[in-house]
Amino acid sequence: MKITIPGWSIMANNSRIITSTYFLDPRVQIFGSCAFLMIVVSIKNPLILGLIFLFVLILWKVNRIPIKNILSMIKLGLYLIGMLIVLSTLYSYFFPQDMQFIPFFLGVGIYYEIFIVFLMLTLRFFILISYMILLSFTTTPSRMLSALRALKIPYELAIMATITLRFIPLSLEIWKKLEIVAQIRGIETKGFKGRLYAIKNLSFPLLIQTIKRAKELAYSLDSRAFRSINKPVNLIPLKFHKLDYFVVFISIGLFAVSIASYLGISLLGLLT
Amino acid sequence: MEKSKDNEKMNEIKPEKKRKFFERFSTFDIVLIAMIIGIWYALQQLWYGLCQLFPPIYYWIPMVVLYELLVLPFVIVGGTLINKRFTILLLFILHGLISIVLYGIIFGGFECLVDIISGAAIELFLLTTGNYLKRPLQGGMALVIRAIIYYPISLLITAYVTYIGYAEMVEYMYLIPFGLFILLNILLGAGCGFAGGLYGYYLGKKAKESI
Repeated sequence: MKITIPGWSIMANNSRIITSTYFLDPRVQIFGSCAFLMIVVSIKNPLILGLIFLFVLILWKVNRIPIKNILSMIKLGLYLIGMLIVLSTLYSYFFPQDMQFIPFFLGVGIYYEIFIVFLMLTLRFFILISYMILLSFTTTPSRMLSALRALKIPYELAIMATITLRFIPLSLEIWKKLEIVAQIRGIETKGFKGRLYAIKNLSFPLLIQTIKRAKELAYSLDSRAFRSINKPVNLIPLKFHKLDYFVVFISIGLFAVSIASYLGISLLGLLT
Repeated sequence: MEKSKDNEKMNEIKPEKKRKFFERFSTFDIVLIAMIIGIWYALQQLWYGLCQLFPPIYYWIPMVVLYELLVLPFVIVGGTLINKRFTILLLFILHGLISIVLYGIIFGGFECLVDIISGAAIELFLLTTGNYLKRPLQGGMALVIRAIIYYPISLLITAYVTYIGYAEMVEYMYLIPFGLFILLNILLGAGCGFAGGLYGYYLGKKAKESI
């Protein structure tokens, strides 16, 4: 079972899918994400959560994001359900719980209450992960950084973040080269032992190469008068469009619904 | 005359407070901190691949152990190499900021919050003990403090904000109270973090000598 960190592979190449979501102002995307988190957290009905998950999948389709990205998540969900059934069956024999047990066949079954908790947990996880993948596919790190700059983050910190984002794929590349060198010298870097050995012993050469690169980059930054301007301008100017206002309006609505659910207003019994 | 008055006024303008914080760091320091965070994220990817070799039911044990022993020592390496006040805090702030950029405000926001709190606690410890990261024990203790602060806050946020129901699942799967689960995480994280901190300190010293 192979699960990669979502948004990682697409970060290495800076290409993004250009759709209406891409053209949203990154500040609006941040605000919208907050509203989305609030609503996902406040809903306590698995059916509504399932509908929201479906909605996110429709957004995926609209934004032309390959559905294969979700397969690893579904694999993990199925694996966990299998594990839950095995645990429930074992517990029903050895540590009986004060819950309703639903047997499927030959004494194999699941505890109903735990299944509902698990379903909610998994749906929330799926929604948040799929929304995160959607965001990372439709927003470049540079656009996100310009949004953070607009939120008055210090100039130095923004430059550092840019360097870091550029350096993550680069350091993975250096790592691969170091691994190849180790393999040529007859050192095993596959399997648990090999990988552990690689991380332990190749981190020092990686560190030395990083320091050398840092020196070069610092010279080049200094030669380009880094930190001589107090208020530098943004490379990507941010502007609100009609679509942004619409998304802000929807997000405010979502905030209101989630606050209402916290206050105990049932809204046709959907949220509780 | 007017021009000279203007010049005097210009000279009177004091630098902003937020710029003062960065003034202590040279360009090389700033670039090196950024690159160390780059390594941190790159190693995080390798660590994730390594953890997948274990069965998911007891996933959290190798995750905590390997993260503390293989990934986090690079924070101490950064602190040892630069060796200026507030280096560790800046490392953690940048790590949090990048997590917002990479994982979005949902996960990244909370990660950033926990990072800043733990970074501030480590910084406070290093400032109060004096001799900023010049003793190996300081390196070890820094990661112990991180484990004590990071695990309870992040697990409580997971259980009560991002994944409501996580606590019940943990209690059901491992047949232990969620509080005990948090305590086990802290103990494991602190033990391995101490070893990782010592390793990071010596790695940083070695790197400093070699450049």
